[in-house]
Amino acid sequence: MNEQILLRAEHISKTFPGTRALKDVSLSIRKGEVHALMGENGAGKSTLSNIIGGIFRPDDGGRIFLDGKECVFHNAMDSQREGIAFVHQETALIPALNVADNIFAGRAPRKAGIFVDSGRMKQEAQKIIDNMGAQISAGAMVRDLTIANLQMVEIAKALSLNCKLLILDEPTSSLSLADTRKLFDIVRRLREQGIAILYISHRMSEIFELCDTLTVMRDGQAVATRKVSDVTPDDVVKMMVGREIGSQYPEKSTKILDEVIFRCEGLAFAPDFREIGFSLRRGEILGFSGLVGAGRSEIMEAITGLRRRYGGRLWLEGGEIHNRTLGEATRNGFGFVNEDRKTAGLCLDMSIKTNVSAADLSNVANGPVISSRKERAQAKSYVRGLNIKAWGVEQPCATLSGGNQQKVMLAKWLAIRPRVLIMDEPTKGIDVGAKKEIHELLRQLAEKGVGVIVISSDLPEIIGLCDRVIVVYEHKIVGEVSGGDINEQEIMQYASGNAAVCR
Amino acid sequence: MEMKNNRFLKTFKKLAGAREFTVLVLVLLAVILMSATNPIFLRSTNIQSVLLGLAADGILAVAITFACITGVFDFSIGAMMGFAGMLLAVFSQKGINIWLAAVLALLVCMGFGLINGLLIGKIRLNALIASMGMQKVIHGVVYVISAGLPIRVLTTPAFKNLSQFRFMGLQMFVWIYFVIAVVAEILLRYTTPLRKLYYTGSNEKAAVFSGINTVRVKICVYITTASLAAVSGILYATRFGSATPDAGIGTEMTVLSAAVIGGASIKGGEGSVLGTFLGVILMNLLNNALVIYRLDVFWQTLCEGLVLLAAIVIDYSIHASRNRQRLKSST
Repeated sequence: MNEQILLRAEHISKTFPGTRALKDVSLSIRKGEVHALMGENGAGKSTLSNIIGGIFRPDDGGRIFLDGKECVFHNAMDSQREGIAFVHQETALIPALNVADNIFAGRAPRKAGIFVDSGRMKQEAQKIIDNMGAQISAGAMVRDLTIANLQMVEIAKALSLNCKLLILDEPTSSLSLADTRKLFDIVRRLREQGIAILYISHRMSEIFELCDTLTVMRDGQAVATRKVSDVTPDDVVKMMVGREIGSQYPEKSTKILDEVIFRCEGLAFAPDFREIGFSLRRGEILGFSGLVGAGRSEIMEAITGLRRRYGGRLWLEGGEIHNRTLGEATRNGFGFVNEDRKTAGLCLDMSIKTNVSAADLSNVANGPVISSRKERAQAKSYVRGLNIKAWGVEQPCATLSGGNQQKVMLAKWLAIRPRVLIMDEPTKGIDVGAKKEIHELLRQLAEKGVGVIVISSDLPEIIGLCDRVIVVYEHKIVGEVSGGDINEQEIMQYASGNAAVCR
Repeated sequence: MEMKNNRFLKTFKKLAGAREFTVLVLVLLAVILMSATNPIFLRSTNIQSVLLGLAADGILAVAITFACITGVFDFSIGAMMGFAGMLLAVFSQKGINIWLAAVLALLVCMGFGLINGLLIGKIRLNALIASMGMQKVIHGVVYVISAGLPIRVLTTPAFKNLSQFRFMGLQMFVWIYFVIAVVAEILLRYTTPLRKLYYTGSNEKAAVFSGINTVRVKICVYITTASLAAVSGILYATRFGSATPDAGIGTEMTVLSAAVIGGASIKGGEGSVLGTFLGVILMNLLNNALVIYRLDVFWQTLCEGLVLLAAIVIDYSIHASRNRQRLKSST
């Protein structure tokens, strides 16, 4: 590894009104290394990377050196000019333009001074993409690209700016396994070319597979910087939470009953799709695994009335139900915590209190009249019960951390007193502590007799949490594993379409 | 003692933090300033005219507040107001009983509201453009049926007496507005069906994923805004004894300013009738100031425009600062 230091950040502090996000953090990144930045939500990872990326300015006293030269960034353009590129979780590409246009946005090569030389632009863009090892045509429209390829284009855009340091903020959070692999190959290739990468992620396995060095942050401070080869995942978790976290997952159930809570048969959510059927037993947590886009969420949407069904029958505790709309499903006791808490989960500008009562106002009302007292009491009990960290039930959800937002969403559905609770990506993008709390809560619910269905792209979560796993591939149920058979190999076999279709 | 003091302080802080409080302070300042510098302001006739203007705008302002909270626009309400008055006049000319005429006018307007709701809620046309289109359509219909001329409302003496009726020195029209405003505020704050307006406006997708039928919510909102506009138009026409083809035109922008000043967000999910009420008072005081300080009437449009822009800038900057906070919290 190249030992030459590319970027040195010294004594970086950052105070926002009311909070101290960073306290005297120093960080060095070497040329050609993949440097992981880890920590729970709120630990200061994003603030630090935003400062390095020029989006925030550090408080007085904080200094940044690039190649030994001190830099002051006033905005993202400044840092870009010095060779620092930031690829955010949400891509900022223009859908109506093609890939090359996006890569060279604002700096297109010119012909005769004023005309865009689109031929040359396409060639150059293609060269960058090919160099990365990505398979995208420079002439393709951005709106037709998959999420994975959007990210590749963002990276290509960064490379076109001759970047020396690439900041990747949770790049795999919405990628399938195969796309993650591709991304890793590209990151490795860039490393060989001498580019340093600051890699922000929650996923332990990725860090150990990909990164050379890691810095752990906690409460706005850099707790430690270590070579990845010198530490174990347990060490890292300990550093992140500052305490022993014990076993990561709650113990599996020993008392799954034969009694079926929910059953569906012949379910199809598009015409001429294969029919889907499965049953959920009392006491178990049933997992749905499969690649992103395999149709797991769609199945749940069809069951809860959010998506039109083309045939199929549903039974809850022996009685047939219809769930024509989500409202009807809610009245039947179905809770569906969807995967997108920011855009489809919470009313972010509204308070915890109003979000908790959103799915069933009748709980907090006498007839059509809302009782403020009941509404507050309900929210308070969930804030306490789920250990939601907030200054009060009137706090707007936008100002909560990801883990606490997830808990508010869960509270909303617990408030309907569900008989079947479906959680789509229950712990996506939330910190280790909250993750554990949510897992334990799901286990408790299952033990109390609530039917629990979990969809997750996080394989360790599926393996650690679920008693039985159904694997979905291309809108079909292709396999089912339970008990001791639940392991990565078995599931991936089905999820990648390798195993013979068994149903 | 300490505790009690603290609690008082907390309540005060909460009150002072609300947008309504800021607007109330502005209103009081304006009243003090105007009564101190101009003797005309406190005269009963002037107060009466302020209140009448308030009531005419006020009912439309309640309507626009409903739309803002739901995160949609309804720019057809101004034209709808004139339309209702014109329908009342035309029906009364045809010899239809005035009460029946009023009910018919209301029903026709509700029908147009339903069409708005279907276009915008169900077919998902852009609310701004579609309601502006509807505004033109309605205004056009008014021109066609009135041939561009004012039409007298033929009324019975009993009806006329009722419309001229005064209670505690205030006209019927003003009282009806107060009742509508108070009822609307209570319903918005404390009832489950109207709470759904806030969820829909704050994050429509999240509302759908919470089991709320947002299409139905929007259709109901457009029927409500049309009904309120119709009530306002009917009252207005009865009060003045005739319907003019351009009545209500442009009022939708004035009341939008008032709502935004009062804390309603053009992005949806926020707003209260109380805030809008104070906003309407502020706008009317401004207009009144132009009159009693004998400024040219042509200044009025300019002032209203500036106030609207200022209100939207404030609304925008509040949201921008909130987004910055959000960026921070997602660290």
